[in-house]
Amino acid sequence: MKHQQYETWILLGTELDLEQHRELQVHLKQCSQCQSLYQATHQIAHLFKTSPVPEPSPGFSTRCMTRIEKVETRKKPVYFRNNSQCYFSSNPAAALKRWLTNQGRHGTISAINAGNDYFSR
Amino acid sequence: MCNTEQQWIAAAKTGDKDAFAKLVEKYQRPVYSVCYRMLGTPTAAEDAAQEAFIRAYQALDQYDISRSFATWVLSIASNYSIDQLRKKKVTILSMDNEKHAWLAPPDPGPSPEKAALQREKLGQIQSLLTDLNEVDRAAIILQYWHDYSYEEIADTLDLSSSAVKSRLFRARRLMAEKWQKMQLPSTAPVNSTAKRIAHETSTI
Repeated sequence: MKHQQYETWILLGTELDLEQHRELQVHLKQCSQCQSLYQATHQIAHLFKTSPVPEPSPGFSTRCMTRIEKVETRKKPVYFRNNSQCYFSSNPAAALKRWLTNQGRHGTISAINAGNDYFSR
Repeated sequence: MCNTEQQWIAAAKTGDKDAFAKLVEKYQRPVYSVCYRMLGTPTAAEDAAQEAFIRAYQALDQYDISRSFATWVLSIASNYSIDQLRKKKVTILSMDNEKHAWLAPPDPGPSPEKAALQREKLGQIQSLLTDLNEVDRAAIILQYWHDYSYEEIADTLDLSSSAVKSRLFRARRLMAEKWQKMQLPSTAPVNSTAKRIAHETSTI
């Protein structure tokens, strides 16, 4: 078998049957390059498996839920009800402007004119 | 997935935040762990893990209940971390104190020697992972620390199984080469660090 095939077995961590395992061991005795690769992959796997598992600091879920609440509050739409229409937007300023504009158009509340009067005083 | 968990998910889908909090409580460790291994600092990991849960909460109506919730939320965390690395918003190599802050709990913690060894190990791990590209790193993390199969990694990272195989092959080769280089000069400093810390603490 070619050297490359042994490398593939080692690097992919392929599950080998008994015969393949014996074959690999024979090759490792003859090939220092594969032996060194085999040792390195096993040492890395051992390092990874025996390393401490990172854990979040206490109170993670509370902090996370607080952040979710904040995001939800920020995204909550603002409603302005008219007799026949409902204005909603994630941008309250734009929604208010639309509502005021429409109120002025229908003449139910002359909010825009009132605003103009206020500023022209 | 247990029945209780399915009930939490169903309740969370209707907007029950307490139910979602239970899911956060259950999966905070694996999600944080993936983010930490990907990004390398507790601060970045905390932020990314929270962001992953926020995204999961917002996308709950798209969650397919037949799929594992763990795989789904880890997929969100992995992909968010990959994006963060791509944006280069995260500095991988931070100050050591910040990097391993979670290893120093206020309660009786590990002995100084053990803590030094743990730091040494984490330093070596981050050093090995840093050279991998973002997707390869995620694949390695999911395989080694979460025991994911090729298919599960493919599902999580939206790749084909053969792409996962070739990425893992490449990543393991890179890590093995780096490990071989690290072994020659690092043997002395590892021992000297442990000895120095042991000596310093014995003289206090």
